[in-house]
Amino acid sequence: MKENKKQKRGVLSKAEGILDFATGTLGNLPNITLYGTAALEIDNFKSLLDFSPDTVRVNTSDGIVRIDGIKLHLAFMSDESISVKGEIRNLSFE
Amino acid sequence: MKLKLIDFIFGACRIEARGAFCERIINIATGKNIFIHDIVRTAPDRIEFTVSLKGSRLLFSESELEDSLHILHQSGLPILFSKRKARIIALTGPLVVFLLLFLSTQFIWHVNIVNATREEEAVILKELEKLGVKRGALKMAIDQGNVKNQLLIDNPHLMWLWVDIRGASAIVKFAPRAVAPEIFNEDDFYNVYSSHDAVITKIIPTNGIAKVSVGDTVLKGQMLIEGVMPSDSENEKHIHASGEVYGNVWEEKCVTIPRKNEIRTPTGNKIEHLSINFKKFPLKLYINSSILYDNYDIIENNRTFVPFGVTFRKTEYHEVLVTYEENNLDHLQKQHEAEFIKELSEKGFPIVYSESFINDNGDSVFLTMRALCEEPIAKERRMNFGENYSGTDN
Repeated sequence: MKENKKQKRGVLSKAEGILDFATGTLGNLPNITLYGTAALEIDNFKSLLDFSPDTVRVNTSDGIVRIDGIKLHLAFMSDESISVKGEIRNLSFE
Repeated sequence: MKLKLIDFIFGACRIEARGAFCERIINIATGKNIFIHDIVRTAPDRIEFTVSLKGSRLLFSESELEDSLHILHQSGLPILFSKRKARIIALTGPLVVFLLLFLSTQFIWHVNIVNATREEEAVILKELEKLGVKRGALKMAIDQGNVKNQLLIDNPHLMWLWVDIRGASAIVKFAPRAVAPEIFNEDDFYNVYSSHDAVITKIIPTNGIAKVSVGDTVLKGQMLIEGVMPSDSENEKHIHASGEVYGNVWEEKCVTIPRKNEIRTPTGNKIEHLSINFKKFPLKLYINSSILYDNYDIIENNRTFVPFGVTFRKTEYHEVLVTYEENNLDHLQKQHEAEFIKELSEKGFPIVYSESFINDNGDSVFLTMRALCEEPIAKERRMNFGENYSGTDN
């Protein structure tokens, strides 16, 4: 299953390279936008795993995104995107 | 800011999710396409978030979430309206009434033509309608000056007109143009002609030469006194003819008198039809429109509520018993003759002779009344040098 996914992504990334598209345009990759250290937006996420004022963990198709910071809260959340606000200190993938 | 505005307009609900895995509740909500915002963790087992009213209803419809969710507060216009319905109605009710009243006064609901006969009123109303002054017309759209000028241009028989818009009424005042009397210029040349067919009884020419004498029969328009004076020279001298001429003139009046007189006696039975007219759209409030009576009188009663243009119409059909009574023809003839003589006497004409004839005309008789009156028949007219003086002129 994982092999199939990797193959599919490889084909899509090649197609993006040939067509000169931005990375992730053809695939369902999570799109993470960081606005300085004040806000962060993740598009194409799967679910919210953990949420506290210090840590937010979001499940994406590429793995779990972990955001560490101070006074973190979610500005909005829809089925496609999630916006985290607060003082972001660290962004990591698990 | 945008979210707050949307929340205020459409209403929002602040909800607290309680439990060990509050994130699960949020994931379920987003999975149902519910937009969630302002998500804050207040305690290790509690998360607060805001959803729209519709979203909150959807969330609470989920039986598995019902126990974990608690409404903290609701806000926005829909909540405000539902909570303070009575106060808002009490406040907005009079406001709406005032607004409606104000709006209704912006239209013309009545066109009043002052001191006009029915014919004049009909003509002026038609002309005003062409210029946009009619029931239901917006006051602001009416240029009073233009209406006034255009009406005076289109209606030369009007001398003066004023359109005054007061409240919801358009008041039209006007003065008909009086026909200017013929100005007799003493220095101009005039003849005197006959105004009626008559037999001359008296002729006193004060200026000019009498062309007829007492006892002569003259036709209407025939010259009576010529404005010419004999002169020693070859050319006649023209003058302004004048004088008093009286003649016996036949005055005639015809009246139709029915042989039988119709008497309508109400039986007391009546049918009422109610209807409401919204401007030109009638709404019948009765089912059976047929009238079963053979003979009936109709009485219509209209009541219009001007600001809204609604007319309540009540039509009453009163059954009547029709009987016929023979008219006393002699009595009616004498009555009409007396009226005729009185009319002539009021004009100041002495009656020399009077007569009347009756012609049978089936269900009615035709009464012709004639009277010979002594009337002044002289009428001055400017001399036309191309006319034949001895001839008649109509």
